[in-house]
Amino acid sequence: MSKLIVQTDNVCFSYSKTKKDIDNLSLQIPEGSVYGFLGPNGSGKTTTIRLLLGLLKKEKGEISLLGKSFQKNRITCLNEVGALIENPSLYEHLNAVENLKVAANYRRGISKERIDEVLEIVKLSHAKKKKVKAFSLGMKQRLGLAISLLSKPKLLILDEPTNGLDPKGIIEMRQLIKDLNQNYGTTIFISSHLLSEIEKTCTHVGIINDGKIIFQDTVKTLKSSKEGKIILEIESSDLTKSKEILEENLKMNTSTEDNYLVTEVNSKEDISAIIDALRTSEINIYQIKVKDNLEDLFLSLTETH
Amino acid sequence: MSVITYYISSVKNELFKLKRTFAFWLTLLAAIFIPGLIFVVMLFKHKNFIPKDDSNPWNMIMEIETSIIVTVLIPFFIILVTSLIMQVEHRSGGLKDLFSLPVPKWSVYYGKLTVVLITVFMTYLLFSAFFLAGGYISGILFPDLNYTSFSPDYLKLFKTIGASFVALLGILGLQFWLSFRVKNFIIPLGIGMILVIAGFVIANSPNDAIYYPYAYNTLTRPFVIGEMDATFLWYSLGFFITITTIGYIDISRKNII
Repeated sequence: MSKLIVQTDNVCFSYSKTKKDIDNLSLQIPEGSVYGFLGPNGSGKTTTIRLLLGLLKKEKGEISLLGKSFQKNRITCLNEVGALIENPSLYEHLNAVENLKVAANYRRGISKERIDEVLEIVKLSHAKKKKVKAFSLGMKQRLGLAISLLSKPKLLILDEPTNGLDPKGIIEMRQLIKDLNQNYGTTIFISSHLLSEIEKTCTHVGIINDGKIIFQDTVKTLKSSKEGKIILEIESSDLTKSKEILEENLKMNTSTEDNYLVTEVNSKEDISAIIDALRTSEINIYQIKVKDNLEDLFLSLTETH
Repeated sequence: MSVITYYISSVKNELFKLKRTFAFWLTLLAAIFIPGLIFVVMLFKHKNFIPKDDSNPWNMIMEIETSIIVTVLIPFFIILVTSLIMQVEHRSGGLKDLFSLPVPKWSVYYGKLTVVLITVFMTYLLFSAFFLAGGYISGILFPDLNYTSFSPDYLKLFKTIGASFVALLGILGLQFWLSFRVKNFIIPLGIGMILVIAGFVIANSPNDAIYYPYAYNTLTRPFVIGEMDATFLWYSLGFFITITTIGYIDISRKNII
């Protein structure tokens, strides 16, 4: 396994005395990975990020960034990190370039050209002199990203980066994450509550629920852990008749959900058998949907607790 | 980077952030308000200001203007402007990005505090300039006011202003900490107003008022007429240093949510 860029050992944190908000969290983020940090709302994703950046004081445990203890090397560590936490902090009375200038002044050796460069990367060059007050949510998000890219960080932390972006923006963001990772070797840590988002962009995944890590490995391993059963949703012209055919002729277990017939098969070949059986009985099939079993896995992982 | 470079770059950045903010204009407004008002009164009723004897006519307007400035205007200005300057940060989404920058937390805190001090100091300087300009211009417009044949007591003016600046450091320190800590604009503003108003009452008993920084504005008043007892200025300085240190320790340990 490659070097770890972020490592936490048994970190605990609570906002109140009665409940542990982060419970013995041990994260391992390999260098060069795109790490998806997945969990339902309120599971502790943002709290974890705030702990990583030293904004919250951990009660117990150890955090190291780039192989160094964060507590002892706060400034050196932060110098290598770019972060976009929730809504970006922007000065609305200043324009885009001025906001970048403020951020650049806090760091060492950032040239004027770099400011233009990051504006180009996030496609905001046209709005350079526009006051941030007049920016849309998506533009603000992109400017926030530009700020976090200024210092060419080794680690980029993005908290729900696609929040407030339109579909085009989401696709561009995904592409950008891939580019940064492949061309610059930037390790990227993305938190999200959407599994589909993580599945498309990440190499590694950590799932958090109720402040505890319940799964942590590569996305590949996550996918292979639930191979076998395939769940189908079938929409047809006659729901009751289809149900009868499937249960009596094919001996399958079925259930209904809204106007869909839901069933489970062992392999893709079984789908043809279902279609054949329904068509010979002259039932029209409108659609057969293969349910994303990762989504189910995620739900089952997070709901059992 | 060394301590000095962190500090200087922080102050520069904080000043840059005030560009186009209301805090900037408020400084100008606070400085011009009283000299402007007196000037306008002078334009219409200059006869009331004609000196009855050969004494220095500057003394009277200096007394009127500086006493309003040091007892009422600047204390309220400090309360308002510290809140406004910190609001720039709170409105931008809080302190999370500020405290995850690769700079020491103290440079952020003391950099901002320095900018507040500069702002208040600028107000005194601008006030002095407007006061002198107002006096000389009305002296030229109405020669019978006699302003041009005397010169103002500069030493007294700067002593009063200097004493007032130090006297108000205590208020500034506490207001700064409050505004840094509390996201809501109204809370530090309300607390400040109440404490200042209570200060007017407490100032009636000078032996107790010396322990109450929010009365030091009123204690500065004797400077205006030339009686000076500077002991309370040391108290103010001591209070300022203590409160900003406690404030910093509190802020640096705080969980940024």
